Amino acid sequence: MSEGARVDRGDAVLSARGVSRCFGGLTAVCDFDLDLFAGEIVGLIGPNGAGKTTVFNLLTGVYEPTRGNISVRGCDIGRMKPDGIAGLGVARTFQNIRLFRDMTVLENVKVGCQPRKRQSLLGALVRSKHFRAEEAAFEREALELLEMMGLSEVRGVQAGALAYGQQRRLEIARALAGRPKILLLDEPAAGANERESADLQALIREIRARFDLTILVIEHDMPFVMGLVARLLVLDHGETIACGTPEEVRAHPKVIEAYLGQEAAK
Amino acid sequence: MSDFFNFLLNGLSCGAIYALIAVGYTMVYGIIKLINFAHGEFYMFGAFVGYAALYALFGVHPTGGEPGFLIFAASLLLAGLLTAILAVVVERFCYRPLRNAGRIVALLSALGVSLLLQNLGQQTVGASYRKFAPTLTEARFPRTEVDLASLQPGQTFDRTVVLDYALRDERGRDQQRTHAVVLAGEPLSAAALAETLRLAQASSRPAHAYTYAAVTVSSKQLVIVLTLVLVAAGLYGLVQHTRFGRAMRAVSVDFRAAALMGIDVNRIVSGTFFIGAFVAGIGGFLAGGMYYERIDPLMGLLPGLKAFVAAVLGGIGSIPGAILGALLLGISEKMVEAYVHSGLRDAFAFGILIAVLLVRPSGLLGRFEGDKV
Repeated sequence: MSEGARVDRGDAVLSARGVSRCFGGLTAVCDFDLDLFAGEIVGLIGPNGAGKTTVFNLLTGVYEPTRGNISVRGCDIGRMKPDGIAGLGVARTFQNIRLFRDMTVLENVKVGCQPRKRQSLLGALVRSKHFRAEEAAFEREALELLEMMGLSEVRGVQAGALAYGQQRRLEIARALAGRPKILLLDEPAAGANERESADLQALIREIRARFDLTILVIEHDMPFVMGLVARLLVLDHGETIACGTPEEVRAHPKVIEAYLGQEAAK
Repeated sequence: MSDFFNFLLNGLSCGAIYALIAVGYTMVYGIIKLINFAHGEFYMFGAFVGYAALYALFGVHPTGGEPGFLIFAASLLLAGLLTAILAVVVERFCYRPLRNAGRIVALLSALGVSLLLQNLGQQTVGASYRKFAPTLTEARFPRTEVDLASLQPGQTFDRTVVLDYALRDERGRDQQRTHAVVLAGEPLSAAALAETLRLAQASSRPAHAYTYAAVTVSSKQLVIVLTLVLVAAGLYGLVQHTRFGRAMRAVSVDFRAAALMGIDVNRIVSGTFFIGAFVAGIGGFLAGGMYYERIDPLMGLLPGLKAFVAAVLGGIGSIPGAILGALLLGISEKMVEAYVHSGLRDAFAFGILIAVLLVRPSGLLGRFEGDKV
């Protein structure tokens, strides 16, 4: 482990220890360790099929780890369901966009507010004053988020009808609506051109500062991720083969091997 | 032509009954992609709860007893509520544990629950029909009074004429009784006229005669269609304008993504079963207990299947589709019964199912959901 990976900066907001996940005979993720400290942006890279998205699924409760522990803000999430983990302040986007396609842009963001609801079903049934106030607040904040993402104009449009880049931004807006502490971005720059990548980088930095976020990002676009993060983890075949600053990782022989094949590494 | 409109009205109320079942089918399918074959049994259960509530709880005799509006409404509510609770329990113990086991497994479980409820019903209350006809003062609209004094023995009419008198019951109230019905074209017999007048003298109110307009709506049909209108409006509001509805739509599009947005999927599924079964329970009480006037443990089977056909016709997963499909099915069934052959009614309904599946599997208002490749 290099210095960059384990610097003591107080308690980690999210930590995984020895997390493995097997599907039948296949070990998709093996002995995965991670500490995310408040405010940092960490990258997770690796060739196709390395287990990056499986890591996201483990961190958000879609899969239970076969072995190992994950804790979020000091709370063990081993057996928690995804909605409970979302309630702890973990939000994510998806590699293959998973918006609620036939709901409007605004409604998508309002669904994202769900982890913050305080009002019970009873309040909703009688439409109490507090419930209506909460709904109004959600609506207001959803509109602000759309404004920030440049989606105000299309707030009444069905999410499935948006352009690809807009859909990616809407996913981020929806994830932010729950006021998460930790944001997991799964290939946010996929399909973006150079110009859009640069905008996206700026946007991610801006939301981190504005919402006081800790961000873990999966990305294939190397220039994008190298320019964005302070440190990186590299997965290959489910194992963490390297971690450290972008420079350290780039020079790591195992990383070169994983990306370019054994011949190139020699 | 007036016959045609009468058939249309009958078909409409029949379709409204299918619709009350079909919305539950389609809601549950929309959210967990399960064809809940036990849904027809929820309809049956609602009818029996209504029967028990009226008879045992409120002491209204199941045939001919006259529940007041409040008692009727309370029984209706109870029928919906207990059915809804049954559905939530069924979902919790028979479907939820199988949610990740594949759709065919849950479907088989649903068939099992359906048979279980039918047989439990037969075991506990017996397999035979029981008459269940609380009187909701069955009036027909519109009707016009005929001057009794002007009637002559031997006279014929171009419409059906009904001769009524009032009878004082043991509690001293006047109850309307029909003595004679004179069909259009038949002569009015002198005996019937005289007897009606004689019977009327025993009561405080005079006898009277009235005739129906060419097209009539019965109060029972009105209640059923109005209930459907209320249910449809309520569901629309719920699905489009509440937080629960928003969560429901999100779950139906992508339940995993919805869970990751903090939605408790199990709660939404329970809620969906609750609402769907509530409506089916009300439907069972209104249809079995009021419209068809008889109930038995297998009464849910055929309406359940028909409602399934209706949901497929309208586009399974779509609530407006289910209502549209049910009304179309009800009306076309009655038309086939009237103009083609009454024995072909059910064959026609299931023929529709096959045709829709072959020609347009997504139904009238459904969306085509291709698998991503």
